[in-house]
Amino acid sequence: MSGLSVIGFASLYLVLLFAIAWLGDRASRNNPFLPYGTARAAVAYALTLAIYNTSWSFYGSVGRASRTGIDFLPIYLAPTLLLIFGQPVIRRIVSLSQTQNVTSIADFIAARYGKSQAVAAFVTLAALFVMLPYIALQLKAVAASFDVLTEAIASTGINAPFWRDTAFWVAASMAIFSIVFGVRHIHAREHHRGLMLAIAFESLVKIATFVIVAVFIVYGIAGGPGTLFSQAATDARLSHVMEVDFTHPTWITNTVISLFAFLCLPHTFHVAFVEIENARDARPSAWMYPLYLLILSIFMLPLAIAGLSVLGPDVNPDTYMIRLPLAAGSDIMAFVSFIGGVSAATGMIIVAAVSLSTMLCNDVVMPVVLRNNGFNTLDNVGTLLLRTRRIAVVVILLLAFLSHRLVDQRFPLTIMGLLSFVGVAQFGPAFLAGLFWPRANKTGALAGMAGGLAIWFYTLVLPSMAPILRMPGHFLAEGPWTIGWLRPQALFGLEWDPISHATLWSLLVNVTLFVSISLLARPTAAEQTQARAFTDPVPDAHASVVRRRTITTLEDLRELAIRFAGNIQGAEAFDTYVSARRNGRPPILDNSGLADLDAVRFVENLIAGAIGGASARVIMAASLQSASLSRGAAMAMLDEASEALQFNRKLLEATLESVRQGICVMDEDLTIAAWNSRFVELLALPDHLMRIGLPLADLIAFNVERGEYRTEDFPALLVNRDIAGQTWPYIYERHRPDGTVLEITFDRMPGGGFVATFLDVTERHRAAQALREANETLELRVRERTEALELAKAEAEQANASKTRFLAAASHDLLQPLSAARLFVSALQERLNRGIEDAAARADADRYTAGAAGSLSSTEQLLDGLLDISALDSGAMMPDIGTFDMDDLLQQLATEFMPVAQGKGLRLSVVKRRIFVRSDSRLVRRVLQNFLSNAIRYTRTGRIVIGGRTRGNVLRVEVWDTGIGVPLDKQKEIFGEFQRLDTGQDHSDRGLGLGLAIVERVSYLLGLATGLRSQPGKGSCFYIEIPLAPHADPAVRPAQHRQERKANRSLRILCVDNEANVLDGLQASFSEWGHAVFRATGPREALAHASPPPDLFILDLHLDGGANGLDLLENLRRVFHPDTPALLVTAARDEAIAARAKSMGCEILYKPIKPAALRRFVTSVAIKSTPPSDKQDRGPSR
Amino acid sequence: MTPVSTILIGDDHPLVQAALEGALTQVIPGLKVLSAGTLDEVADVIRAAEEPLDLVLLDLNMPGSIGFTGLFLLQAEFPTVPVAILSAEQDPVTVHRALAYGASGYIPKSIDLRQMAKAIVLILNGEIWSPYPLHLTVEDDDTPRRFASLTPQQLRILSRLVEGKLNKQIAAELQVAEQTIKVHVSTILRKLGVTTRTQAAILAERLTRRDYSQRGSPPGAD
Repeated sequence: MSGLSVIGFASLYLVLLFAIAWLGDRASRNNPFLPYGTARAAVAYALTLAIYNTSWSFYGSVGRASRTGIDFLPIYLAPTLLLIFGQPVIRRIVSLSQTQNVTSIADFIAARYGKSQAVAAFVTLAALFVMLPYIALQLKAVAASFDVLTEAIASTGINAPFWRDTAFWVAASMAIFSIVFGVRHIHAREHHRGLMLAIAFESLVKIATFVIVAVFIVYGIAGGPGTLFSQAATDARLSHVMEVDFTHPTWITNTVISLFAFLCLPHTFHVAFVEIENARDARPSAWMYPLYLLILSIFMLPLAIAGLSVLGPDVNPDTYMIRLPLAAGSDIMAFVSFIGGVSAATGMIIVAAVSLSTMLCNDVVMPVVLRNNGFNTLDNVGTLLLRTRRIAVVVILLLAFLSHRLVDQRFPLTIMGLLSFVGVAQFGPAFLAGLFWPRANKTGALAGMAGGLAIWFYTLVLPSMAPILRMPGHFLAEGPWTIGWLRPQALFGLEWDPISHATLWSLLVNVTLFVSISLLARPTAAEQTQARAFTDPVPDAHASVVRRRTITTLEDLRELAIRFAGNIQGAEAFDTYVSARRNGRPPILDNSGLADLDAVRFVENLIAGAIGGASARVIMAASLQSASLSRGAAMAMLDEASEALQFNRKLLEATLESVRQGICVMDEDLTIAAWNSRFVELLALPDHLMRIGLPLADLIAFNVERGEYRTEDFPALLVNRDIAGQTWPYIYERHRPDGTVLEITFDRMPGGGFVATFLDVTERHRAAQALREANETLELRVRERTEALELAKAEAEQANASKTRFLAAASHDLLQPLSAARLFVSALQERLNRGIEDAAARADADRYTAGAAGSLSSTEQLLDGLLDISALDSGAMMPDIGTFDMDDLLQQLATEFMPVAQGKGLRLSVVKRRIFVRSDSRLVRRVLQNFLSNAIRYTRTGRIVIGGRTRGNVLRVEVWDTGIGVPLDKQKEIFGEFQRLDTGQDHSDRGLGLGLAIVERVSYLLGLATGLRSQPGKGSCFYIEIPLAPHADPAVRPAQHRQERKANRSLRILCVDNEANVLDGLQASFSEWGHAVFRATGPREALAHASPPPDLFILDLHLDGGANGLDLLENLRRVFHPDTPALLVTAARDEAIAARAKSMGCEILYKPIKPAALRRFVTSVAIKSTPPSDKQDRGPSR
Repeated sequence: MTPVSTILIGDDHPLVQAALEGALTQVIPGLKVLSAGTLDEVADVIRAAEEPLDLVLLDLNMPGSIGFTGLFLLQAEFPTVPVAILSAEQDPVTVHRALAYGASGYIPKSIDLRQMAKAIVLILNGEIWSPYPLHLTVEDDDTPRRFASLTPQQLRILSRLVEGKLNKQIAAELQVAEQTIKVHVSTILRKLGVTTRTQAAILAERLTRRDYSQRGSPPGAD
């Protein structure tokens, strides 16, 4: 076939692969082509595992089989055994990869050993070194096949210039495709879904082509397996193929290293553990991939036999797959085989390159870059990463090509592969032991790996590079410095095949160092944590789901520090800390830029300064709960934080318990957050009821059930209140069923939530209640007393009133007989005077009657006095305050007492003074009467003067006498009852001594001052002070008060009589009485007095001209007022006239007219016709 | 020398009646003295007299007449019969009121016989006799006119009103229908110029001279 066509078709195939990858990538975003968890995904996953089957499998295994028979099998046996029996391990690795956020084999191992950057870098570089042969193997296989296919001149090889070396072009194209396939953009979590799809497809192609070609060869060319096997049995050249020696070390060593290799090869690790999203996808691979391997393996021996028999022993058996079809004349089959090989190689190279480039980039390049760039924020991390990775790819392939050139061309593919495997196997102990042995630590791992790799290098790489390195020929044969037991390929005299030999020694050294140094060295805390995480058989519960944004770098911590401790202080403190550590302060700062625990602790402390220790811990724990600081460490931090919280809580509880009140704290949603035992006590709650998070509603419901609330309590409960509109604090009282009274205060807490305080105020209530009751009973008692008092008072008043009434009645009844007796005596006196002739007898009679009269008079006075005193004492006397003219009163008194005084030969005079005073005239009169009668009584000779003089606003009325006077020591006494001055004389009318007592009482009642000035032997002056009226001076008094009525109104009287002398008489009388008279003798004259109209008609019956007085009356009434009163005066006594007069409303007086009668009538008319005074409105209101 | 006069003494005390009769006949020649113990009796006597009586001496408190009601009653029924007050009381206010209400005179029982005789003689001659000069200023209104405007029945009702009796009681005492009493009461109120019974009673205290009220509530002051 022409090279171009091969290249072309191969390229087409690769483009197809690329297209698949691209589609897969595009589809994966919204509608994944292979949704995770489905059967398709599981199949795809299993297929991707077949990346393990490279062109080594395709070409090399056949070659191996042809040389050593069935011992090609271990390579495939190992994965089979692992997948069938090692599922728990597989699962663990899968889960760990997910939780630890592993992106590569280096990541995984480094993660196990404390996230050590050193380990990661070491593994990366080691992996690179170790993979070179493997990649070189692919190049070789593809190049050789290509050459065979195109029958190229054997100008390839290490001697040809590289551009003539097919392998170079293969490498170049692989690089391009690797970049194109795998390093187009940075994938989150390194998932290359499209690429995986392509790999799966490629695996299909691989097996399909292999089977096709194998079938073609076995059945088509060789005539079937049976033929082949019988051939093998018979042909000596072939029989070695059928030999099986299970004792050969290769069986064990190859299996072991294949096992390790399957796990640790970058590309297999990647597809098996990094790309997997859903652990379930892995399960079907447990039987699918072994099946795949089985299918492959079945054909190996037949193919080998066929090749041997058809092509002969001189042909490179690694090319059987191409040559056989070619030998059979089928270019197409050869091409198909070639495609299969290319496919196998491509898949592996791409994924390996991608994986290695990722490792190189992440674990080698980036830390260096970060360290050198300090902490400046990298502008475009993505671009840098990409670029780095692409360069890495190129570098890897270049190296691979170089190693291809360097490595002995004579090495069969298998050997190259196995060489690589042994190298990769050095990761195995660290890898696997790390899963089971917590004690394994970083130092040990590193030591083991390094040691193993060193041995590997010495025993395998060195010998294989011998031709190039131009080592002394005896080096291999005799060992360095001819130390036999250091022969690279026969250490300590062990002469196995190089692979097994190397395997043994390298792994031995590896494990020895690993174990011993692990045991000796102390793991760091991070290592311990990681060890725990890896070896803990219980998978992390939160494995699959959320993988937080991690703080892994110091930069993140710095940001945190700035956020909480301030821009200046935080940054400064942090920078100071970091530089201190970089300058050597222990613990030594990891140069990776990743945060370690010390830095975390430092920042935590820094933050604590701002937000408190507990909060700082919580924040750091939350932020660090990630890959860098594993969950375990974060948990430890959280424990510390919760311990702090616990302490605070205990403090809170202790405080709450010490308070007298019951307290219940609720959060914003009205669930109980805290309470104290007093609360439980006060509400008599059962112990089991209260818990944190108990909804208040539940507590209320419980209380309702046990009858805690009365109906009126419900509106007060917090659950029933409108919290938004409530004013705080909100206080109310509740009566509990057992009688206690609680004062409940609700308040909002500033941070949200509510606090209720319960105080037992039963005592307070009881006291208040007692007070209330006392008050009520007191009021009741007071009411009762008052009623009783009022009753008593009423009774007393009634008694008093009765007494007064009695007295009033008595006075009337008592005095009547006395006045009657007096009259009788007077009458007797008169009679006797007339009847007794004898003067002496008459004188005697006079004396006796006078005596009787006098006695009666005294008695009358005494009784009067007694009754007055009694009236005054009983309070029945009500002052009738009025304004009156004192002069009138004095005049009256003078008139009254003049006779008595004169009878005693005393001169009584009154000082005349018109002045108006305001008091009770009757009572004042009484007082002055008493003064006067005393004055008269106690004055033998001389005079008595009564008069008033103004002093300020009172009138002092004084009664002077020239009597015997009152000694000073008796001046007070005499105002007492029944006090009489002992005059040493025998006076029949000394009085009862009540006069001044009455004065005393009157003056008290009226509030008037009374007094006495006396000089025994000279005389006395008794006085009383009466307030002046507002207008005391008569001259100033308003005119209307001066309206005096001597008599009633003055009438206009019309007298009509035909007798002039009658008229005269009438006129005289009327005039005297103050009326105006109009005379007429007859009707005509009468009617002439038209105006003013008369008030009264006095008419004679018989008038001049035979006129009738009554008729005249009618006329007069018609002319004047019809209601004018009239009086008919006549001598005739006529019933008819009397009747007519009566009917006309006219009175009759019979002649001769009696003056009194006339006056009476006129007076009454005058009264009735008095016009309403201008004081009318005052009248009824008195 | 006065002609033969007949006077009627209205006093419920028989001793007083007898004493007065005896005494006055001694000192006033030609005097005829009648007596009656109640107001109704007085009225009867006046009515029954063949000749009009010359004078009635009326006590202020006797059955059927409380205070001045008797005066007004007699005045209303017998406008031409002089009525003078003869009473143990003699305070000026009472005296003045009596005269203002149209009494022909006021004779205190405390004056001696001779004076009494003189007073009576003067009254018979048409004089108005009073123990004091009539200068004391008393209330200046038209109460006399108002009282004088009442009919006898109304006066009777008013005096019982002042005692505090209910319409029913008054109706029973006067032996008329309660409705009639009610009508009278309203007329009384109108005539007295008051609006309530209480006001009428207060006013009528002057009429009845109930100075010593049961509960001590004072009569009107100035």
